[in-house]
Amino acid sequence: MANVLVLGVKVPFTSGGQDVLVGSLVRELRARGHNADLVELPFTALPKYDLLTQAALWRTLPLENFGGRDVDIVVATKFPSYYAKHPVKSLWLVHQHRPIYELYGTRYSDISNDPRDEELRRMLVDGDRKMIGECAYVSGISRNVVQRLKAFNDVEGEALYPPLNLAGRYRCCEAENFVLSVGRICTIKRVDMMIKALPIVHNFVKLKIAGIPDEPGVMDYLNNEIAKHHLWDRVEFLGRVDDETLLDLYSKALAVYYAPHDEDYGYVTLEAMASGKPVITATDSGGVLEFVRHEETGLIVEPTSDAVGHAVNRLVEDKVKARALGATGLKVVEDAGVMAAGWDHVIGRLLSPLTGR
Amino acid sequence: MLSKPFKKPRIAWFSPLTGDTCSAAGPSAYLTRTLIDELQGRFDIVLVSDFEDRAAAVPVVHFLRAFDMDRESPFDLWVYQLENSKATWFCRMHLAIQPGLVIFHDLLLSDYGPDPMTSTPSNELLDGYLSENQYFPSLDTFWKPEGPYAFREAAYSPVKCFTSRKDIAEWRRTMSHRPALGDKAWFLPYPVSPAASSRPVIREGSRLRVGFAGAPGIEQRSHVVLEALRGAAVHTELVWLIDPAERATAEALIKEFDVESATLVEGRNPERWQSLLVDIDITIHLHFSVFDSPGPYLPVSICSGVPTVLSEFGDALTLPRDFFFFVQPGQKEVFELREVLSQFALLSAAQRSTLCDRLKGYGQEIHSTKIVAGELGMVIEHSIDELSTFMERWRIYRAQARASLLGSQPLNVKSSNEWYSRYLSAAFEEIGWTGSKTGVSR
Repeated sequence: MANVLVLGVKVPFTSGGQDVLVGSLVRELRARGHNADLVELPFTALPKYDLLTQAALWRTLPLENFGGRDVDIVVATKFPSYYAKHPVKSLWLVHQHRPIYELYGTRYSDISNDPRDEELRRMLVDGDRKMIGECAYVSGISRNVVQRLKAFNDVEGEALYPPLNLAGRYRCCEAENFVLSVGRICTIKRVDMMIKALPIVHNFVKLKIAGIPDEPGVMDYLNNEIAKHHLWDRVEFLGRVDDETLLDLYSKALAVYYAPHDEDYGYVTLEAMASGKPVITATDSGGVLEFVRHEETGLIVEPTSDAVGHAVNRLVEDKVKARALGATGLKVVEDAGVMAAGWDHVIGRLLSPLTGR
Repeated sequence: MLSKPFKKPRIAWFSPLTGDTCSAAGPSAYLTRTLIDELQGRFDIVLVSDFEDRAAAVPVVHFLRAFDMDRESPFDLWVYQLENSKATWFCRMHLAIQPGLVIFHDLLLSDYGPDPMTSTPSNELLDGYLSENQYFPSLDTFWKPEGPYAFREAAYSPVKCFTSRKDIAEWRRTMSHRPALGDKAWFLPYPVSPAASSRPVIREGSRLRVGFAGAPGIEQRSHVVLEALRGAAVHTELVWLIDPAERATAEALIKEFDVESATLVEGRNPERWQSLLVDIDITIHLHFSVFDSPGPYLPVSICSGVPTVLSEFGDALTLPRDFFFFVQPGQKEVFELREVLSQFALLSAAQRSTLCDRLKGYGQEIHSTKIVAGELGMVIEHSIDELSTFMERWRIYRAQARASLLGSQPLNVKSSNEWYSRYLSAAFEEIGWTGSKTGVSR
């Protein structure tokens, strides 16, 4: 059995897929007899010029021995945890610093064409390539993530899907008249698109949003949209919900809306499918599209509120279709290796530098 | 003594190429498609776009990788194309990072570009570069966007080509006196492939097949065209080349104006237009807006020899009056267009044939792919020579930007906490951000 440190990156006061991933990994490592623990440093993306220092701080951490116990392997996850130094480093990449890669030049990036920003970008790209190059094993949480790694850093990696955290507990109940949205409330998750779609959706359909905001101004913007279209009775912000409430929401949703821009993986997609519910997503939603198949497990539409609204109406008006999509989605998830049994494979691969396999 | 083998100059050629219909059909993609073979004979061109396809016949590199490639093997020149379209946003971003030759298809832009650009203090950075001292503005300096002219893009392009004669005049009038990295400017006609410019069918009589490739909006006067056809004294059949997304609007307009005979052809791009012209009697290219030039569609009509009606506006004013029919934008536009169609219908086949030959001859003189590629090739070679000193100076500027960035890092802050400074410095060096190999010390 190995002494394993999982390296996580924590944005204080927020909660998302990353937190679920590192928590689950530590739990499953321990369940298999390994001595595992989590090392996290706080992270902030602003101001952007501090990114270099934040990455370098990981490099300064002594991670090889604690209390006389040698650390056999570290498993890095998200930028900048893979800047850590250890003789045996494994990478299960959640994502790099996206504003310098695929989000560059979009409204989701703060990297401008000031030459200092370009030098910052270049230094981080070079640093990423060098630090990831130190890893004995490289993987990403989805094909989308490993494709980015190949495209931007010319590094090969394996897609290793994270199994669902609540595997075995998802259930499917009779659909009620609400669409569910789960996740961090921020611009890139595009919850606003669903809110703006509601005026053309049958007015007995509500929208329930589970998650908390982690971007300044986003709630003002969303509340403004709700007020503009008089949707106070149709949109419900639930905040952070516990596991049982989340499972209940999934089980009763008519459909799950999850259409972020170029998502890394999308736990929500799989949770919806594990609950036997159709997913409404967009053509540019990245990792979500590795599981959602149009007209088979959900509906993939243009990233406009009009298209989203019409998709919701289709499922409202044809409940047989909605159930069929959900049933196929459940089958896909069961076959994808993301239920509980998938952890054996994931941990086997992440610890492969120790076993030589 | 053996002379060095000739090495073709290496060019990073930025262009939208494919993806959504608009960018593939746009002037930048068209120019690239039409010229690339000719230019590859003279230059080592690396196509750079917003996607990557290394397996393509001409490999395409993602723009974020272009700068890595430059480090491995420096480019002699960076070439960008600029349209009034989101498709060239990535070109606009990178022009300020690495200036080069810009082919302006439009000089007026409807937006300020991707959001991060609006916060770049471009004017102050340019002033800093051009001044003797080469300073950088403070990191929290913001820039008030200016529009609608491409002020920033024009300032950051030491060499410019314009596909519109009107735009060169506009640039001279509004921008040439402003601080900029250079002031060389040329007119670059759109190339038209001669192979596809087969002679149109020459008919006579009062049944006219009328070709129109304008978008269903007021700028390209679709309402004028439809109104004119409805009340025309001759029988007309409209062949309207549209983008698939425009079908519903185009159908609604045809119904609203009660046009008797109209065929909508989907898939607007210059090559498709060229294929339709074989069976067209007369084309209409109207344009009345300061935004968006008509693009390559007019040159394609000219080189195909199809008689053409133009708005007496903008670039059309620079064309020879004998070869075209003109209508004045405004109150009498519809009537003038009807009159032109009636007059044209009276021409005999021989007269139409003469007009066709004249147009084709004029078109080939100006728009032949070989000629345009030759001219652009000369401009590129001239620019490489002229800009070699500039490129070296710009590399030094980039190195100064890096030094400025590193100078703001905590490891440089004099502090009594030596541990912080010492361990962080070592980390920076291990990662490769400072140290003897980078040539940058803290």
